[in-house]
Amino acid sequence: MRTALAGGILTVALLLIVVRPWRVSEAWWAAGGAVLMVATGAISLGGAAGAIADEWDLFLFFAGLMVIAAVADMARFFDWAAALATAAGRGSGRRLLLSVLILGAAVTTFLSNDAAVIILTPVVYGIVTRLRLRVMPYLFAVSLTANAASMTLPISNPINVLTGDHLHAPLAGYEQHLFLASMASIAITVAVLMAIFWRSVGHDFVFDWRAAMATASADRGFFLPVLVALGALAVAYVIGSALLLPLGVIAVLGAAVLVAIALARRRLSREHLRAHVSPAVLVYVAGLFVMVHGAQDAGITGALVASATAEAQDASRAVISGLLGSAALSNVVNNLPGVLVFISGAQAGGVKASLQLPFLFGALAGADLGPNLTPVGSLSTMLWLVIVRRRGVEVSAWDFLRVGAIVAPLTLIAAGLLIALSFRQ
Amino acid sequence: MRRMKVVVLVDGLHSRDTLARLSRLLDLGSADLLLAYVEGPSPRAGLEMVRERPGSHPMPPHREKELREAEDHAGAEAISEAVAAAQDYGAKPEAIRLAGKPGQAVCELAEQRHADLVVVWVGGRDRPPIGPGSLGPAARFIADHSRAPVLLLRAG
Repeated sequence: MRTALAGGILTVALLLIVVRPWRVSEAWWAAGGAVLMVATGAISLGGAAGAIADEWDLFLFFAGLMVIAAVADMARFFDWAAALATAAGRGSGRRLLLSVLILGAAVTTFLSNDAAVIILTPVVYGIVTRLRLRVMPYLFAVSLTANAASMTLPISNPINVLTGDHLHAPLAGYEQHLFLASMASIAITVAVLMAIFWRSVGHDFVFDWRAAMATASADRGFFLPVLVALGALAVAYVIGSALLLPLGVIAVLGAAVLVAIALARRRLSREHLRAHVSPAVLVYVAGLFVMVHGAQDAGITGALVASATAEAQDASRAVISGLLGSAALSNVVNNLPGVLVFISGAQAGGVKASLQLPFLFGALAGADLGPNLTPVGSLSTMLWLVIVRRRGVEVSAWDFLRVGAIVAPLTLIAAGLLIALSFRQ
Repeated sequence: MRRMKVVVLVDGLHSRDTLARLSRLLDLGSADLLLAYVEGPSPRAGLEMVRERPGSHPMPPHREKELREAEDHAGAEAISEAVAAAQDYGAKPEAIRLAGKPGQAVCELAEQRHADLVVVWVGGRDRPPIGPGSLGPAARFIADHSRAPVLLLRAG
């Protein structure tokens, strides 16, 4: 009975999160599912509170990350970085595509994939529109490279922080298994996008990069301290990952320093904070934790993972099971709930203790790279398509899916092989 | 004899190519040339799609304003470049900026102005060259729905 109840609530809530009826935010469906789990006794109140409290590092990381991105945007850091990338394009649309790909990877590596996609894409859109180049190749470049590069460091994607907190793997161990896979994913994404869009971006442009960079960094008293603080934060993230320090604490401290700089320079903008800091994300994540924990207590996630890894008798097969299962689930729902189910299942004994590390590294790679196929989960991508079609827009979403159908399988195969090989050494 | 009325869809990337090829087929000086630049909703829809994810917000107002300015700037430049190119071929063009779906906007314009010919550059699509599709959405719509004859121009 308890299993059916928890499984039913989780399934319906995930469906509502993806469909978002009446455009109600996914956060409220996740919260509703969590409340229902507690109300029906699928999880106790103490268990729910514990499920949330156990992940305090991830909540701090999310909160810190949003504030960091907001202050960096206030200081026009993203405009400055995009102007730098455009300057590196030296008047060629093709070189600009390459430099946008590299910029997307760099921003993702140090500020996370969400910052790259949510903040950098409008900046790139503005520059490319002004230059009268085709817009979509450059938007695809940021979006796809943000997923491809999101394995590079433990802070490149909040999913890595979540998985890392469960694995307790220091940076050296993390990179031993994921560095080559991450580099290969970035290289494949760059090569495929350059090949696909080679003709579409073959236009030249004139760009006054000195003026653009000067405009972006005109408020030097604010821009330079923020630039230095972001550089210091990147170093702190690397040291923190190496020493297994809680990354959420580092992110919050970094956010506090950046807010202090903005306050001291009288540049703190409520408009930016409102635009970039979303408490609903924390509600969404908390709701997911409670529901998945309820499903774990009912034995659902353990059984699910055990069935996915039934054939996995060695590390290589565990990597592939984790990778394919989590990539598939990320595309059906979304990558955060997808990877949560896998972590929970592994914790619940769905995977042999000796195979937990390869299984979860595989799951992490699947959740990071899988969304290149359907960016917000297959069902919600389809619904998005329906909505914009109704608005009469000739959509590029099918194009996105067609490009993703090439990039995602190639990067998943390469990552799977390289991670599996890393466990054979 | 009545001057031929020609509506040309200019896209900001191929205006010179379009008018150069058209001038080989038609004496542009003896036609009434109407250059139409249409600001379509697709690029913005693409931006929305790429940014769509849990927790993403609408853009801050200052960013929205900057993007609007960039779009206006691109439209103005595209039109002035097309006008200059047409003038190089002896035409005295009229230019118009429209908003909406490019195919529909051009068909409506051609009908309102009783155009004798609609000219579209094909192969200038803002899409990945994967899979079938010899015409982009605008060219396809115009080819299917225009009441005036349609001239499709391409490179090569």
